[in-house]
Amino acid sequence: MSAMALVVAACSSSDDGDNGDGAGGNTGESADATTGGEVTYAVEGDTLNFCLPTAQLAISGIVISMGVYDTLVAQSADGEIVPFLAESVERNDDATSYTFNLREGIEFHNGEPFNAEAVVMNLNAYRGAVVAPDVQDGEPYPSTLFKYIFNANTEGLAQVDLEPENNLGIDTVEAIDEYTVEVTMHEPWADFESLLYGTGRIGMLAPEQLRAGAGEGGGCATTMIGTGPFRHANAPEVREPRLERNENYWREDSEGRQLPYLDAVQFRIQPDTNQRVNGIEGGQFNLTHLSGGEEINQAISLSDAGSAYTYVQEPGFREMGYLLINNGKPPFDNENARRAVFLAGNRDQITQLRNDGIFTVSSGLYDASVGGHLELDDDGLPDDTDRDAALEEARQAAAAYEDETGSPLSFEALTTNATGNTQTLELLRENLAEAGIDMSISAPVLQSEIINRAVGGALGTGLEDAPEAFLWRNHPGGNCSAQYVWFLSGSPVNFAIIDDPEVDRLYLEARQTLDDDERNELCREVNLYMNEHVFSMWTWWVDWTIATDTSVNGVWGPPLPDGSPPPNNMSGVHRLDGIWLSS
Amino acid sequence: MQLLATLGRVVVRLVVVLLIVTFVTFGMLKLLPGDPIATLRPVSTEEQRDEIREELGLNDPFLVQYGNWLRDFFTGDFGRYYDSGESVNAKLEKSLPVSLQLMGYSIALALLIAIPLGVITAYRSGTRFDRGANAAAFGLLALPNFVLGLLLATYLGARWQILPTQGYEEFGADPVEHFRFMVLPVVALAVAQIAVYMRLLRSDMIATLQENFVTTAKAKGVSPRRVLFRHALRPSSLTLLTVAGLNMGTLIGGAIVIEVIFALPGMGRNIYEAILTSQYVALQSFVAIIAVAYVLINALIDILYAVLDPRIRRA
Repeated sequence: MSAMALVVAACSSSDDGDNGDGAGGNTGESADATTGGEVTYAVEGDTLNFCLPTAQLAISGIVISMGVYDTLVAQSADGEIVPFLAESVERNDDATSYTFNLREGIEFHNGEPFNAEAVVMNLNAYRGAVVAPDVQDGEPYPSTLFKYIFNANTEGLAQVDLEPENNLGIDTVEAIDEYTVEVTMHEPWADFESLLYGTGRIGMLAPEQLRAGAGEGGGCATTMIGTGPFRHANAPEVREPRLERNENYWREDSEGRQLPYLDAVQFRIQPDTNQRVNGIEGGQFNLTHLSGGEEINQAISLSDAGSAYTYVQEPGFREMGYLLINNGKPPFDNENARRAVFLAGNRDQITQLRNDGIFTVSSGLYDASVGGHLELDDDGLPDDTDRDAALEEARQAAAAYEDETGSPLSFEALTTNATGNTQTLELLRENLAEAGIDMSISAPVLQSEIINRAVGGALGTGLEDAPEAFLWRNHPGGNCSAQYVWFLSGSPVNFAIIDDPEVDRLYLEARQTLDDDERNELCREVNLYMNEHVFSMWTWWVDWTIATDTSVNGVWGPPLPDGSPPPNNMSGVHRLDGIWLSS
Repeated sequence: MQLLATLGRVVVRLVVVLLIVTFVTFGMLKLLPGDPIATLRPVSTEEQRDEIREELGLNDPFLVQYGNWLRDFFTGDFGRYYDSGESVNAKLEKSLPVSLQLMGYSIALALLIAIPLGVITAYRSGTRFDRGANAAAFGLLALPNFVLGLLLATYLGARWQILPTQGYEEFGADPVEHFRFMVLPVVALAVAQIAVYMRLLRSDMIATLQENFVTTAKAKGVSPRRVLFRHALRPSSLTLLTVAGLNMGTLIGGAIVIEVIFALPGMGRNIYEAILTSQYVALQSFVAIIAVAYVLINALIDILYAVLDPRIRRA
C-alpha cells in the first residue's frame, strides 16, 4: 500500500499530552523548551529525489521535506489553510486570481533571497512552465503530476500542452513587485490553496537548486536548499539525510526564541516495523512513524509501560486503506462484479485481524472532519453488516455478472512483497471464495511497477496491462474537493479509472464552488455516488502513529504564524521546528 | 615459477567466472519485470520515460549495454545510479568496508567457536556433551538468520537494552561503540555457520583420530590436547576450509538481510535498495564485485591448503 498524499490534514487533538492511546509528553509550545540536542528519526522508506516539482514524495520524504522547505501556505490542525511563507493571501471574488504577499527578509539556506522572483520560478517549475535560462539545460521541468494538477486540463495530462484551451488551472504567474506574486486562473479555482500546500510537498526551492537541473543526475534531486528550519548538511546524501539547524530561520516561538530548538535531525531508514519500535525502546531512534496495527499496538504497550510516547491519529482527517479496483476494464467495469466483491469481502474481519483491532472500517472517501463525510449507517455502500445476508447478495451479484458476461467472476490482485499486503489479500481471497469468486494473488512485484501500470491505465495508453486490483492507501483529509485529482477522467493518477460524467461534473463544480457549505455538499454527493456504484472497496481508516522516546517534546510545535494550531500527525506528517529534548 | 603458474590460473579463472556471472546476471536483470524509469518517474507519460531511457542508454541493444558496462567495469568505473547520478564507486567506498567487517567478524566468530567445539565433540564422540552439542547445532541451523536477528534485537536490544538494536559506528570513531553495534548482527550471521563448521570438523576429526600417526602420537605420550590441536586438527581442516570458501555466497546473501534489519550501511543494503529501485547498472556492478571476491577468496583457500597440508605442497 502506498500513500501518495497530496493533501493531508490534521489530527483533531493538538493539546499537550493528549494523544489518544498511550501516554504522551508535551506536544505543543512550552516555556520549558530547551535549545540543543539531536534526534534520530526512523522513517519507513527512502526517497531518491528531492527536486520537489518532479518528486512524488511518500510520507517518509514529506517528513524530511518539511524540515528543509517551507510552503507558501500551511494546513492547521483544524484543517484550515493559512498563510505561511506568504504573509497574506488575497483572492478575488470569483477565485480566478490569487495574490500572495510574501514575508520579507527571508533567505534560502544558500543566502539567496526568498522573493517574488523565486516564487514565480518555483510555481512555473511545478506547473511545467519553466523556460531557459531558469534551468540549466533550458528544458521545461518534466513535472507530470503537478503539471496536471496545476494546469487541470479536463481532457487529461497529455492535453495540457496540446489543448490548452481545456486547461482550467493556472493561467499566469507574475511578480507584481519584489514581494508580491499574482496567480491567475483560466477558471475559478476555489480550493487552489489546498493543493498549493499539498502536505508540505509544494515547498519553495532556492533558485540555485532549481537551476541545478531536474534531469537524470541533476543536482536538483540531491541538494536540498529551502528556507526551512534545517539545512541539508550532508548533500548529496538524500536517503538518510542529516539536517542541521538553520541559524537564520525566520520563525520564533511565542517568547521570541529562535526556532528550531534542535541542533540536528538525522534520518535513518528502517523498513522493518518491529525494528523501528525496537529502536525507540532500545534508544537508537528518538522518533518514528507507524501505520500498521500490530506495530502501533507494540508502541502503545511501550508507552503504557512509560518507556515511550505514542500519538495515535484520531478520527477527523485520516487516510484510508482499501482494495483499489480498476473500473476501466473487465471484470470491474461491471457494477455487479464490484458489488459482489465488496459484499463478499469481510471488511470487519480484515480490519480486525490485519490491524490488531486498532483500525476501524471506513464509510467512504472522507473522514469525520472532512466535508462530504458519510456516517457508516448512511454511506450508500452495499450493506455488509450481516455477513450471511451479504454473502448471499454477493453470490447473486456474481451470478448476475456471469449471466451478463458469460464468464464467472475472477480477477487478479497485485501485491508487493510487504508481508502485511500479502496476508490481507489472502484473507480477502478466503472471503471471496465463500461467494464463489475467484481471486488470484500475483507474485510480488515492485510498488513502482504497480504504480507504473496503473498510470498507464489512467492515461489510457496501457489499459490492458493495468492492474485489475491492488491494495492502496491514500486520501487523507483536508479540502474535500481536492480529491478530484484522483478521480477525474484523464487524471494520470485516476488509478481506479473512474470515467464517470457525474463524478467529473460534481468534482469540477466543487472545485469552483466558493462557499464551503455548498462545496461540502457537492463532496457529499460525489462520495455517496461513488459508494452507491462501488467504485472501490473502501476498507479501513489508517490511524497513523508517531512514536517517540520520552525525551522528545514539542512534536507538533508552536502555533503557525497566524496563531492557528500546527498540524499534528497528519497521516504521519508533522513539523520538526518545535521539537525539543528534555533530559 | 609455480607461484606464477598459480597466479596465472587464478587470473584466468577470475576472468572466465566474471564474464559468465555478469553476462548471465545482466540477462536475468533485463528479464525481470519492472522498469527503472518507472521507479524514477512513476507518474509520467511513455514519451517522457522514453526520453530518459534514451539518455541513459537503456534503449541500446543488450550486447551494447553489456559491452559498455564491461568496458567501464574493467576501467574501474562501476556506473551511476539513475536517479541521483551518484557513482557506484563512491557508494562502495563507504559501504564495502562495513560489509567486509560484518562478514569477517562473522567468520572469525564462527571459527573461534566451531573449531574448539568440533574438536571437543569429536574427542568426546558419543557422550552426552556430543549429543547435546549436535542437537543444538541442528536447532541453530534450522533457525533463519533474520529470525534470530529480530529476536536478538528485540530481547537483547530493546527489552533488556544490553546492546543496541541497530545502527553502526565506525571503528576509527569509537572502537568500543563499533563493536557494540556489531555484536548482534555478527552473532545473527555467525550462528548458522558455527553449526555447519562444527559438524564438518567433528566428522573429519573423528576420521583423523583413527589414523595411525595419531595412535603413534598417543603411544609416545603426547598429551590429548597436543594430539588434538597440534596433530589432528590441521589435516582435518581441509573440508572446513573448502566449505568456508564455498559458504561465502550464503554469507553474502545473509549479510544483505542482516544489514537491512540492523540498519548497517553496507553493500548488502545497497544491493537491497538497488533491487527495490531497479538500478540495473549498480546491481550489475555489485554482482560483479561479489563474483570477483568469491573467486579470490577461493583462490586464497587453495593456497591455504598447501599451508595446512605439506603433502599438497609437495604435490
